[in-house]
Amino acid sequence: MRFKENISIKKIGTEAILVSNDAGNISYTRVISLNKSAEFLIANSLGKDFSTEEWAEKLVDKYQIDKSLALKDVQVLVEQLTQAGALL
Amino acid sequence: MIDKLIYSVAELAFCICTPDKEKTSAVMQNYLPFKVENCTPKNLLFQLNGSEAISLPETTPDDILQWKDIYYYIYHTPQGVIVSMKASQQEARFFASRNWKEIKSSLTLTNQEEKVFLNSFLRLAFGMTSTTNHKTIKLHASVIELNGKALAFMGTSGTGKSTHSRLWREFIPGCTLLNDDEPLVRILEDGSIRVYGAPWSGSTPCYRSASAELVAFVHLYQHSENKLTKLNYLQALSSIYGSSAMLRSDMTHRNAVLNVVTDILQTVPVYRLDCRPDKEAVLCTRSLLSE
Repeated sequence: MRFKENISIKKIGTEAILVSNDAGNISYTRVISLNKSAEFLIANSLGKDFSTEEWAEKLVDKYQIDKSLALKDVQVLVEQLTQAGALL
Repeated sequence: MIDKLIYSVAELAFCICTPDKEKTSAVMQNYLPFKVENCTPKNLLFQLNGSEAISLPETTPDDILQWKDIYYYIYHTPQGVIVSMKASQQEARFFASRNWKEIKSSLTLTNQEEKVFLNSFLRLAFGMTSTTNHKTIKLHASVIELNGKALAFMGTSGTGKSTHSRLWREFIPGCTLLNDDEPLVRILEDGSIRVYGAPWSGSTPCYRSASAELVAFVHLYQHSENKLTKLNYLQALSSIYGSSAMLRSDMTHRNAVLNVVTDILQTVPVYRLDCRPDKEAVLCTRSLLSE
């Protein structure tokens, strides 16, 4: 998987927001709120190829959680990102 | 003999070079309150010259926009941007250098019939040159001011932005309308956020060269009950970015607007007002300006 080109993470106050600003029309601009782990994964993946497997590994390393739980979390996030039109 | 007319909007200037100051001033009547004698080069956004021949590329336009009765055909070329505007059988052409500092136009700048074209293009050029370097955006909002502090009311057309502002003037002594449709919001060097009147204001002729501290944005929705709620950052970003003017086909400009909006939201809160067109609704937003 890979993020589209015009994806950015904006920090407002304490919140991290992913903005998908890629389409030619403003009404297609999508924003989603990110939790700490999502922000960690995405910030390190912009402009690179990545897989759910790699993301899960990263979560396991960082938070010392179960691989199966990590995979579940990653799948939820990928689903969210897909709906926001953030992925190629 | 070419003369220069200088205008300052949101404390940012632009210069119109004209063979006839009187006639050009008459074409640009809504700009009269913004006329200044001179400006510092740092604050000069662009300079516009008229009576230039501009040929169109033989490609299809990169973007076609419609604003009221005017169609904009936008071409991005290696040298800059070419805009052809068409309205009722007439056409005006503009060429802007890559940084939009130098602008040429086919208009004579002395003919009253050119007014709508010149006005529309200046609005666009101001937007393109004020965002990146001067952290300024143009918002679709109606703004009221009281004792130097302001609220910006937003919402889709027909929601009642202007009505809410009119009710403010009816019920709150001392408040004034700063702009009814197209105010400018700027982040100043000291980090403060100000909202400015403009030579554009939708269909309301409210062209004030004045400004106020922007205290809050309020997004209006028609409802049978009045209720004011604060938006979270995610909702706030969607609300303000969606109400900001930008050149859609220009990704650099879109991103610049997004950055300015993000910065503004670090400081200025955004509220949602579900409201009726009445005094109680005004008292809801009035509470945001209390000391």
